[in-house]
Parts: sequence; C-alpha cells; structure tokens
Amino acid sequence: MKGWRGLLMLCAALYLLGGCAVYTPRDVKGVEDLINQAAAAGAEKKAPYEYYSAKEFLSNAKDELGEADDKNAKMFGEKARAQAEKALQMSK
Amino acid sequence: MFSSKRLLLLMLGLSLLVFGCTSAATRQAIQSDYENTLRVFNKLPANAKDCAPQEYAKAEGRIAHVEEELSEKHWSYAKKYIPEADEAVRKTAAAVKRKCPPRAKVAPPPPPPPPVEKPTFVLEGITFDIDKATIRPTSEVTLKEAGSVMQKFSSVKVRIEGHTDSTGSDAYNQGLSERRANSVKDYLVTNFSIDAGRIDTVGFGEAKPIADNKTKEGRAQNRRIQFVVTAQ
Repeated sequence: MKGWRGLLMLCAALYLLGGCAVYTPRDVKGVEDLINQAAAAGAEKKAPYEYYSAKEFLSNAKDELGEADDKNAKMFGEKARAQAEKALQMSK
Repeated sequence: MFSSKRLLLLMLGLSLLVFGCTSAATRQAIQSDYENTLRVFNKLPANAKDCAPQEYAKAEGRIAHVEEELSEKHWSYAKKYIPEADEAVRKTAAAVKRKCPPRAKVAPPPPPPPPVEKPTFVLEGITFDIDKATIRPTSEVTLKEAGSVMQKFSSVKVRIEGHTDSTGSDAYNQGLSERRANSVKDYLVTNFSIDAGRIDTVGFGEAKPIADNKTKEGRAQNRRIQFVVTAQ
C-alpha cells in the first residue's frame, strides 16, 4: 500500500513537472473554436494574415501532437491561439 | 574463432563509419535545402504579407515548423517538412507576382514649359507733364490707336502700368503713377467704350526707370505708361 502511494506521488510530481509542456486535443479544440469565431466575424477578409497564420500554427501543433512532441505542440498551439485572438479582435 | 571475431569487429566498425558518414552528409543536405528555402522566403517583397496573406502565412508556418525540427535535431521530420515549406514559399512568390505585379517605372513628369512672356510695350507718345496725371493732347493720337485695337479685338485684356521719374518722394511718386495709369484707363473707357473689366491698372512710382533720371530727357522718358497684354 505504501509502495502504491509512493508511485502515485511520483506520477503526480512528474505530471506537475511536465505539466508546462502538456498539450492535449482539448487545447487544440479550444484554438479551433477561436479560429471559427474569427472566421464568423469575417477574419478571412478583415485580418487574413492573422487568420491564416492561426490555422497554419494550429496545423503545426497537430503535427507535433502526432509526433508526441508536447513541447512543440504547445509552442505552436500558443502561437495559433495568439494569432486567432488577434484575428478575432481585428474583425470585431 | 579469433579471426571471425576480428572480422565481425571490423565489419561493425566499417558499417558504423559508413553509416556515420552518410548521416553527416544527409544532415548537411537537409540544412542546405532549408537554407535555400529560407533564402527565397527572405527575398519576398516587403508587401508580400499584404499581397498574399494566406500563402505568406502558410510559408511562414511551414518554415517555423522546419526550424523547430532542425533546432531539436529531428532530421527525419525536418526532411519531411522541407518540401512542404519550399512549395509554400514558391507559391507565395508566385501569388505575390500575380496579385501585386511590380509597377512599371513611371517616367518623371516633363519639366514645366518656360513661362510665356506676356507682350509688354511702351505706348510711345503717352507722356505727362511734371507732377500731372492729365492726358495731354499730344498723347491722344497714340491712345486712339490703342482704343481702336481694343475695340477690334474684344478678347484682349491689358494692364496699364504707370511710372514716374525720380523727382519727389517715393510715396508721392507711387500715388502719381497710379493716377497716371487710371487716367489712361478712364480715357479708353470713356472715349472708346472699352469694358473697364478688360483693363487693370498698377502704379510703380519711380521704381522701374527705363532711362537716366539725371538728365531732363531721361526723366521725360521715365514719366510713361506701359501696356501689358494679359489676355489675347
């Protein structure tokens, strides 16, 4: 029992340590929603560079997820989010 | 047994050497391909982002992807993404060329033509007595000719400039020259029914002499009227 607790604590610690670099399909979905909102606001015409840039970076993030590279997936995902937010802001 | 072990070790060493060299060459080729793509991307015109935003964003994203893989020495992934990046950059260049073709150099506008000098002439014979602005009978011959011409050519407009000699103060001569010009205008309007709107007057006082003010003859020439044709 004591061994199990130790193992659980180790897992939790590892999760927390690596937490910064965890990127999940849920994160991808969040950025996708943002991009869709931007598209609905007319970003394709009003902020085309930011809009397409968000899509490209998100595509990179998905590729990295496919390669199990969470760190780069997160990095590209954050870039995609930033561009999507900018596109949405510019289209309002 | 000993010799077969040595042979095995030799083969292992050779294969390591061969694979090691191939790997270094591949890495170099990948790096070189990436640099070529990046060079083309960096040569895109400054307006590329505005001209072809979709294509530009894609090229930028693909390049960032390759760059990331290279920085982590993921050679196989870098090799996989370079052709995509290269294609995206080339498509961007083509789109920019298509959507925003470089403007043909516009020839500089030709220099403006030199200003046409308006015909100016002194009506000989219109002179004035000292300190007077009244038309002398001797001046009427010349004024009649001028009036006839203005009647005949109704589109002609003139400016009558009055001048004085240097006798008297500047301020006085200024007023005198204006009175002389107006006196000629009144004569033309009254005697030849010339529309007053066709005649402007201006006085220059003693500022524009045409002869020496030190001599009597010179001063007489300076007390004059000058016509400038302003519209023909």
